[in-house]
Amino acid sequence: MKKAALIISVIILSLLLTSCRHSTEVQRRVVVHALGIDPHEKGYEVSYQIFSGKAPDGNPVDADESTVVTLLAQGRTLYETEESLRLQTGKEVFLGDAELIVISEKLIDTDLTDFLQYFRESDIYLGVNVVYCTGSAAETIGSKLNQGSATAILLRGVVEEAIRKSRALSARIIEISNALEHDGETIAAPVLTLEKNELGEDLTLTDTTLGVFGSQLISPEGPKSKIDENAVMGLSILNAKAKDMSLEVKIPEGIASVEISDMKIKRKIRIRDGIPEISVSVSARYSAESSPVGANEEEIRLAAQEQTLSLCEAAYACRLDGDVFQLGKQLWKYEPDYMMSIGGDVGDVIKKTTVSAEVRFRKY
Amino acid sequence: MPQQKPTISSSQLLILLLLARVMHTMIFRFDSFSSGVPVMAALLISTAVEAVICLPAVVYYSSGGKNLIGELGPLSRVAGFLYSFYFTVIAGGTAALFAEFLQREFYTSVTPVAAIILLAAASAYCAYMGIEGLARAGAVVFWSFIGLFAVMCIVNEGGFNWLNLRPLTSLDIKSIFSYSIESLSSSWWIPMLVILGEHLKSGAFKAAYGYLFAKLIIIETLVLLITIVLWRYIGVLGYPIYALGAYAKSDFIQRFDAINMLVWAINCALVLSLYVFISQKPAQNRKIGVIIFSALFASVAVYEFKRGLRYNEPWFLWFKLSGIFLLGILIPIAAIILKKRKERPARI
Amino acid sequence: MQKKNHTPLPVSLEGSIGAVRKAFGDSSDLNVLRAEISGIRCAVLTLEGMVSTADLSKMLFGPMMQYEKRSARPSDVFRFLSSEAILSTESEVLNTSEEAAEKLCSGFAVVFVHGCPHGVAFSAQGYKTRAVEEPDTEPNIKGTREALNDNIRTSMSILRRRIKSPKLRFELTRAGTLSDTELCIAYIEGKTPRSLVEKTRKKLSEIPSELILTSGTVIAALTECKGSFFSGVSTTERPDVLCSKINEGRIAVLIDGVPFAAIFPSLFIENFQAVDDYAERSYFATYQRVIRLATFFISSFLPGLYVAAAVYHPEVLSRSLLLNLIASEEKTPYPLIAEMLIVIVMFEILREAGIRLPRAIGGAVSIVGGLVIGDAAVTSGLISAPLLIIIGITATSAFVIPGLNPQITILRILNVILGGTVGFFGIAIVSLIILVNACATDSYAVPYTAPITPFTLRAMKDAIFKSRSNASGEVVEDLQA
Repeated sequence: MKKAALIISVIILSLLLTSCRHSTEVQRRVVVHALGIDPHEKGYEVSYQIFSGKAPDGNPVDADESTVVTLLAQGRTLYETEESLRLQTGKEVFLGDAELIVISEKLIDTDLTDFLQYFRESDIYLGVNVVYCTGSAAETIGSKLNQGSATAILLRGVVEEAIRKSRALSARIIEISNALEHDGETIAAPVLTLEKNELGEDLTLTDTTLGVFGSQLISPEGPKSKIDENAVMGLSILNAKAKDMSLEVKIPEGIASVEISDMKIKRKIRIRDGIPEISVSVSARYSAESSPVGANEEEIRLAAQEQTLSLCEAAYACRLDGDVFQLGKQLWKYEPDYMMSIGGDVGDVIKKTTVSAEVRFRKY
Repeated sequence: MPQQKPTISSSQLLILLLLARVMHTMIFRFDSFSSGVPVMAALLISTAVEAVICLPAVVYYSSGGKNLIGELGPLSRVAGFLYSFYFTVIAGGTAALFAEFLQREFYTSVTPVAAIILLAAASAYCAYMGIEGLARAGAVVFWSFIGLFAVMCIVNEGGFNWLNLRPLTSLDIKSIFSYSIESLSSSWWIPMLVILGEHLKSGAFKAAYGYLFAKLIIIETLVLLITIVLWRYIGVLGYPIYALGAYAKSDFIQRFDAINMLVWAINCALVLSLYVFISQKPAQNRKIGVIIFSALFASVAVYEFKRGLRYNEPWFLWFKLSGIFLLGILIPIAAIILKKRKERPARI
Repeated sequence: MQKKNHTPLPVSLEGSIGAVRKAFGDSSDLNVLRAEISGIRCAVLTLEGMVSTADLSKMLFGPMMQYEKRSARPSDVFRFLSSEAILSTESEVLNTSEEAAEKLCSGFAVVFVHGCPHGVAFSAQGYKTRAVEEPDTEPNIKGTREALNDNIRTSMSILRRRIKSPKLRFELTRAGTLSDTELCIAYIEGKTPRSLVEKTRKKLSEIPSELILTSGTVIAALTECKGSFFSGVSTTERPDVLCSKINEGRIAVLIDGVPFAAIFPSLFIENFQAVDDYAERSYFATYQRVIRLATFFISSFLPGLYVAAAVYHPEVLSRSLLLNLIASEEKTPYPLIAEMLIVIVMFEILREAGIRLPRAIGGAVSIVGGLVIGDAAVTSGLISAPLLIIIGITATSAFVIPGLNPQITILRILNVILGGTVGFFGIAIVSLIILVNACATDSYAVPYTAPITPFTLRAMKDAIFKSRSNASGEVVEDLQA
């Protein structure tokens, strides 16, 4: 027993004395909640939304997610900006808690895979969403909104709600990486938009609101067109990712608000005359949240089905920007011989691909 | 506390063999992951081959054999040292790969050499405690691993993309073959069965084929999950089980990376203890045996780590395969023949 | 055991008294009362405080003084005392001064008759012992209020009252070369393997200690695995627990002068069982056991995990906890590992003081502890509030399973040191070493970690899950490897 104690003590002492560890006390870490990337003459300017553990007067602060400050760091690469932040704060940068990555639209021409390399090598969680923003990312991250500061949680909530309502498709690091670098697919990254409002004399409200009002298509070759919410909703249907939707449908009596839920989407692919044909059938429940006086239930249902088809039509136009329907994957899965015959490249085939959709709603 | 007559049940042996296999999968890096289906097919093929090549060892112990190495008579000592050498190298390789994993993913907490030293010290002590202690602890570690695996699957944030499960094509034949060979080279459970079989109360057949079945289920499930959840991002993350944890998140435990490492480290030390226990068999004194063989595998691990040699690289493939062929097939066949010869006069 | 020199008692009364006096080295507590019975000189020897004078005068002196015989010879008087009269429940003829000394030490009165080279010892124990009290260290809600007693015979009777069967066997033996303490092996015939009883007898006869003053000496002798972190021998002061354990085929050793009995073979899982479980519904008892099991892991691992997570693996911590931790650690002057060790040591000091101090002052310790640690240390910024909460949870959890307190304390400190030095990797190494150590521990051929590993379904019914009926049956035989 004495020998065992001696051996244990020697091992622990040797570990302690040989400096074989690089411990960082928890207060010596700067916890990053969100990153905003803007262009800069040096390369990039990254706004880090960080938790501030100490008030300016040195007193402790309330430890919650809203106690944040935004620090700016510049560098030629994201590694350099991180190093710059480390030098500014004198602390280890901890990215493991980051909730969102916001990239300015001004950087749309920059190859996204350069950023992906950094994200993968840092501690950032692979399920973090990457979004674009109109205007400056620093402004988006540091903005004051009606519902409070644009904290990482709030920004993430805005993006996730848009995804839940099929107004955006999720663009997590892992999804972007798989799609762009391995499957040759085109992704639709959500675009956050800050809108200035006219408030008049009412100074109790701030003059900005934030939301996801469209997406940016990005293919492995580079950025493509920006698409509106309707096209994104169509894409989420054609990619079998839509679950819930809110539609404003036009009927002769006026405009009705319809909630589509429990969407079940089936996709089939077959080759006809050497051209892939995708058929999509959508079934879902609907409920009219508000409808004009005298509106007929059946009329609303048919109008909602029609509108859903028109969303798919809007999305169909996106095929010119690349493989937005996971066509390559579908062909590898169901028509591997065809896929091998075209050498695994769907670049040209996608443009010729036809899509037929069938939509059927039933009352909730 | 070495026991006089250490014996383990077939299910305990099965679990120990599974833990060794899981350890190998944990530290196996998927640097190039083309598609999951060829890997799954290769696993099926290699398992079928393993089911055949393990027969000599299984038949020996099922037919009442108690000491396979002892049957070799004057050559048993040489054979004993061959097993020691083989498992010292395997242990060294395992420790080196685990140290590499720590360096890649947890470089802040412990340096690779310190990790190897700690692992060697822990495995020396655990091996000294004997096979019964290891077998009983193995059950706890195994169910902890299964529990963690289940929790990680439940709280995983990734969705299932079944489109990733592509059917096999003629293009996959080559990769199926290479994966099968690679998988087969990880079958050192057969030499392990040869050595540990003497501690078995009964049920060598149950242990061997139970292991093969359980291994198939666990590894196939893992590859399936990787394919439909992570797809080719596994090439970025590298380690399959770790990767599954990297996409798991909950409100209580924010991320599972370090929790994964905790269970891995426990499993790694346990499996290394098992290798040390097997290696020290020819030694007269267990205390001295475990110290010598732990020091030896630690030296091998440090050497491999520093020189950048890894036992899952192609050059090592033939060492592992020839070890399985000699120690897992030839020696058991020889033992069966010699046993039959000894028994023949008694029958007459 | 040292070999004793046996000195035969001389024929003369003074010679016999002198031999006993010599054996005691003229010890002041040796009382000699001289008297004459039918003209024959006699002496009654007792040790001060060891006999009941009231009983002596009733049982012995009365009949002795009434004995009258004409021309009585010393042998007549001796025969009267040793065989004809019933003067006590237990009497024995003595031939040597050593035997006489031994009996005197056991609370017997020894009578010498002039002219006889023998003595007679009469059982007349009357030393003051504690009354049967409530079990202090193992309180319960619905179980018995009686605890075992310092007096081994009282303890035996307490057990006998609960198991009124001749199958309950008591075997008295002695140990301690100097203290010559009485030990009692208690078991149930037919339920306890014979080999286990024989092994116990042998081990008790080989105890090398001079004094047996606590159960620790007996436990050390009975423990089979010397390098084990956990003990395969447990103690209890509750007779109901003891009865239940021996009914499962275990052996109990009662020790004279110690109100605790040693029980073995003992299992890890038994630390999480309580008598009250059997008074509750199965589902609730199972729930309570799971809670107790959780407290073991909380009290052993939580501080180490906390330090390791905060220093090396902050990604594990939930966001709000991490932010709280950062905010509170901003003010503290020491590294987290040092802070944790300081609080653990402070807690151990307070706990120790609480045990050692008289009860009247004991309350003051909690006030000082509460003020010093709870308020001043946090206010002054010496210790962070979350850390204090962690220690609070840890300490409270440890109180739930007092039987494992030594192991938990050491595990906790080891985990904090290694967790703070090499993170979760260090905790993994400690965990495995302890796990393998526990799994390799066998107590009389029963694995200490049974029935969890190796898994035994039948025994599991009363391990974590409480079966509907009270535990009984040959658990030891089921579990023996």
